[in-house]
Amino acid sequence: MLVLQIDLASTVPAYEQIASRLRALLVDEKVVAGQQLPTVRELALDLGVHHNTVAEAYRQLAAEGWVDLRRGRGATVLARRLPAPTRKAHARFTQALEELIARGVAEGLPRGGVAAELEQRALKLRNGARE
Amino acid sequence: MIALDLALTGAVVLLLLFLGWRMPGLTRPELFFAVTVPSSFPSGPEGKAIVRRYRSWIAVHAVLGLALAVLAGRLWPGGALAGLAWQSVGWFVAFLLARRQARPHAVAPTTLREAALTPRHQGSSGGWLLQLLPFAALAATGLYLQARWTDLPPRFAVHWRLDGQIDRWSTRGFRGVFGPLVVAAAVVASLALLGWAMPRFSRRVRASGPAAEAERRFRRAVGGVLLATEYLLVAVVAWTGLLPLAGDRRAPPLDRLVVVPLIAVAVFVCAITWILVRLGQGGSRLRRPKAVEPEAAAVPVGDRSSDDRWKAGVFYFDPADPALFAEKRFGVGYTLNLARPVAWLIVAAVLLLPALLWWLGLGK
Repeated sequence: MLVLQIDLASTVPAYEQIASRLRALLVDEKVVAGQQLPTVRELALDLGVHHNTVAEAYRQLAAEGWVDLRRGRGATVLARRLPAPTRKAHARFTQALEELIARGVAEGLPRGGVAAELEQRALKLRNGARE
Repeated sequence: MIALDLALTGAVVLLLLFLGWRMPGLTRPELFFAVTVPSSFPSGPEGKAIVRRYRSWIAVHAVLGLALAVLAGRLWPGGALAGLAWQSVGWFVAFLLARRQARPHAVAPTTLREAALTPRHQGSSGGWLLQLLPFAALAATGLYLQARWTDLPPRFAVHWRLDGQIDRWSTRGFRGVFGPLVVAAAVVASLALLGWAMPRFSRRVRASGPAAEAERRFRRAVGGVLLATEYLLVAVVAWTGLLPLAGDRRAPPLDRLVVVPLIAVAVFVCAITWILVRLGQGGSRLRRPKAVEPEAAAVPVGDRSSDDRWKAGVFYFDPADPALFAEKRFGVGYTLNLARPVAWLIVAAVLLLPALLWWLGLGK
């Protein structure tokens, strides 16, 4: 069963956590087109957050073309066509990755361990493997 | 008949004592007297000592309650209730004392929240047909009574003491004949509404693994218990409503037609107690003892609510939680999140029910 988990003590706002986790599942195609996501109310109840928090996350994903929002019916996953890559998107990704690596190393993770983790991810990405 | 009275009071005292005795083991494993603790604490020496003191206290108050029930029961009718009230208050005080002893051992619960990415089951407990049958039974009883209106005596009994003496009468009129059916319909509708709302407006504590499956079974069982309560209520009310047609039931000893609902209620209470003890809060007793989940071993999950949101360990008040119902921390079942305005409407409705009964002349 697919589970969405957030940390209420995190400095990352809850709506961003929800949107990021869902996006990761969508990218990995663990949630596929046509699938119905829980309604805003259901997800807010289980996560113990305000309805607006979940609604904001869903709105973000809808704006990115991942889901279709219908009043009272929750969110339906759409068959999203990937946009053409832009230089801006590439630069943003590189910067985010560098920041993430720096944060991991700063928090004491061994450089070798971080590199191994990245290699593993890269391999999985290249093979299009699904967990 | 005093012996029967005493036996019934004794049975209720024993049932309360049994529930109180077992209660610390019925809650979720990381909740100990409504305090979040490491899962190993209740089985440790300090945890065991707290449970021992709590059990001694409730046992003493059960004995005192029974003694008071016997003495007060001889002085005035209904005096036995004083003994049961004593026992209940003693139980609550024992809980508060145990909670105070457990609080120094409290730990912060996990801040992780999880949700299954599958829409919830949207049906009513048992389906709409099973939910409609009690209303159909009440309507059929009403129609039958209407058809045999002239066979109803002008004055008939509606309540009996344990010695078989009638202590409440009603008259042949709309309120007297149909009043109980209307009240029963209102109560059944409330229970059906509760059974519909509880799974929709409460948080699922666990989203995956055997604990989530156990929780699903628990939720289904709670819905089933509510549905069974509706059926029992309708059966008792319909039975009592039709009794006047069966002739004069005034003479003691207690008529077997009158005693049937009493036996039905007793069997029902025993069955419900057995089911709840078997399930434990949130289905926590359904899990295999060795099925410890990784998260449970690291940080206590409890019920994913904060200790400071529980007033006296029993009243839940969390304005940040959108849930209307929350699992009780000490007990089996659900309680209201009093920070939600709708919760107060439900409290008001429950308090208004006795007023409705009185208006219909059933309280006289």
